[in-house]
Amino acid sequence: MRKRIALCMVALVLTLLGPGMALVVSRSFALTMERERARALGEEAAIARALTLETAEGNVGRSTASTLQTRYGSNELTIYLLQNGETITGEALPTVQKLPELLNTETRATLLDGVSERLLIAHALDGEITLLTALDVSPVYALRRELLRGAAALGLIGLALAGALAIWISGVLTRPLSQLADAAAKLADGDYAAPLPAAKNDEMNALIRAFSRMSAAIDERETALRTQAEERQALIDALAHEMRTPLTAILGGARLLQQSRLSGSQQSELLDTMAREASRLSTMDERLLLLTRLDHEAPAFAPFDSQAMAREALSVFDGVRMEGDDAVFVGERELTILLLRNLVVNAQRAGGKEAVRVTLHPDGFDVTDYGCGMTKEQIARAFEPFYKADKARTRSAGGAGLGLPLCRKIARLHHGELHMESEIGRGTRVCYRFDTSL
Amino acid sequence: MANLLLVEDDASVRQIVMLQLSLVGYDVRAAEDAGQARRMMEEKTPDLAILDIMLPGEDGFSLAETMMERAVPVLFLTAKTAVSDRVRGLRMGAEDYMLKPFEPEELLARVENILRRTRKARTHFVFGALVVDLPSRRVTKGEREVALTALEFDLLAMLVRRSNVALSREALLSGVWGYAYQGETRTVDVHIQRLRGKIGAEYIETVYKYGYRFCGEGEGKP
Repeated sequence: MRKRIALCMVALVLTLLGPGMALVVSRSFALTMERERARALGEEAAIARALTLETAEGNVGRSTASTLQTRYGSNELTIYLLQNGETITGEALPTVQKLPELLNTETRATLLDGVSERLLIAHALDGEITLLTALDVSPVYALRRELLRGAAALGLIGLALAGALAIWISGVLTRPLSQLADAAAKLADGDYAAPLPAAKNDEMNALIRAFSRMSAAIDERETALRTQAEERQALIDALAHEMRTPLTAILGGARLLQQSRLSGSQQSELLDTMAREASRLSTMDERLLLLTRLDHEAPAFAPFDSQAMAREALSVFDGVRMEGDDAVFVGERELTILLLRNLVVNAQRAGGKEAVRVTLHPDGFDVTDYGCGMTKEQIARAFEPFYKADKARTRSAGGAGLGLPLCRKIARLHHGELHMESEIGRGTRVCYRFDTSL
Repeated sequence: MANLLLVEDDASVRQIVMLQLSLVGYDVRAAEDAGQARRMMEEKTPDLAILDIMLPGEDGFSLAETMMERAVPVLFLTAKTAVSDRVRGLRMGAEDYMLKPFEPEELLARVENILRRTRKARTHFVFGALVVDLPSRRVTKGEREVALTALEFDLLAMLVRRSNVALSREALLSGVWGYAYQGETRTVDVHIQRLRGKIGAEYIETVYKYGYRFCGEGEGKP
């Protein structure tokens, strides 16, 4: 990526800079040459005028040529006089490839010869005399060579600079990418807090934003999974702990019966205790099974009559008052009965002189008791598995510490919630509300 | 007889542990929370406190500190299995740490060990006419001294320490003869027969398919 970006930039500089400089050089060469040509033509015109005067007098000869040379010529400007293709003075013509064609001209013609670096002007005059003027333009060529060398040097320097710049820029451009790659590697190792690069360009920013969204989503999902696993582990730990007490009683009781001499009443007391502890274990097991079943099975919702449901639920209790209007609930009827019964069992356990009251609403029910009440701390922990606000009372009533967690699970299954309010010494009210839009 | 204080909030476990300990002859008082335990401790300082850790209100660790300030040895009896809890319990100076559920036999053995370490264990037993004195290794019945071999005395000592609770043949074998004799439970039967011949058959009961039990109800009668 970086290499490719750098190469592209160098190639770009090369294609732009090369022809550009060549163009400048050739343009300046052409302009200078044009000026030289104009100067040469001007001088040649003067020579030609002087020569015409000479020819008019008819005394053109060898001396004429040298006179012209001394008067008008210089190191740069050489003047030849030709008659019938031969120099009058007999000196050699400059070796120029296209000279014969030039000399063939009827009037005046110019030729720029790159090999000898001379500008030749052939001028046909009267009396079959041709004036050939050769201007040495090698300084112009030298200037062009100088310019080309300079341009080449400049180009190389530019190229080197462009290369360095390209490497730097491509580095800047791709740095967020390599940082992102580092962050991805750290993410793979479970480090979700790895710093993400900040980029100035929008495409890279979009990529970084997408990446950070992804890592946040993974983090969130993993946290959720971990929390779930921790909750499950906590439940298993609590269960193991919770099972130990009834097991201690059962095992201890069995050993006592097996090993000791006990009176009849001692024996029957022991057996009672053991049976109670065993049934506590069995309640625990039943509720746990139901809790796991509710975790995995989709509920079968159907409409049912709320008063008939409540009457059936309360038929197993004595002295529970029921009030409120009839309504149609949508949900699992059996689970709703279980929920109501569990809440009533808890309410009755709280004691109180007045009877437990069940109030039906169009979207749920309240269970109110006038018993001992609960503290804020107890309410906050009431839904934890195996939490018992009053251990002795719960135990003696055969509670397993799973009733309220089960109730809440049933409530949530109906997209509802359980709400608990209480005042110490005055009583507790648990409100169940489900989502009627289902 | 040593007097023990049991602090356990679960009624069933309290009932059963109390029965186990009192059957062997310990004087046991039981409390269901720290407050009650403190009141009982004021009445009479126990020789050993058996504490649950998870109690309503003040927990067992905190109660144990008070106990140990009064030089009452502490045995934790708890469902908290975490190693950190065990280490904490033992490091704060508890004599022992037992996990629920436990075998009653193990509890008795550990209680006895602690009492022996703190020199509170009972060493002199009187069952009617039969007197067993462990330090002097003497057994008398009425006026007459009962001559026992070393093995027979060890067997009897083990049985009287757990009077009213059966000991399995295996437990007796490993307790008296050592582990090298594992499997030879007939040896136990032979020695029990001899012991019965010397002290009287009524003191040692056979527990069907299990082992033997020393009958020592109270201090007065056999």
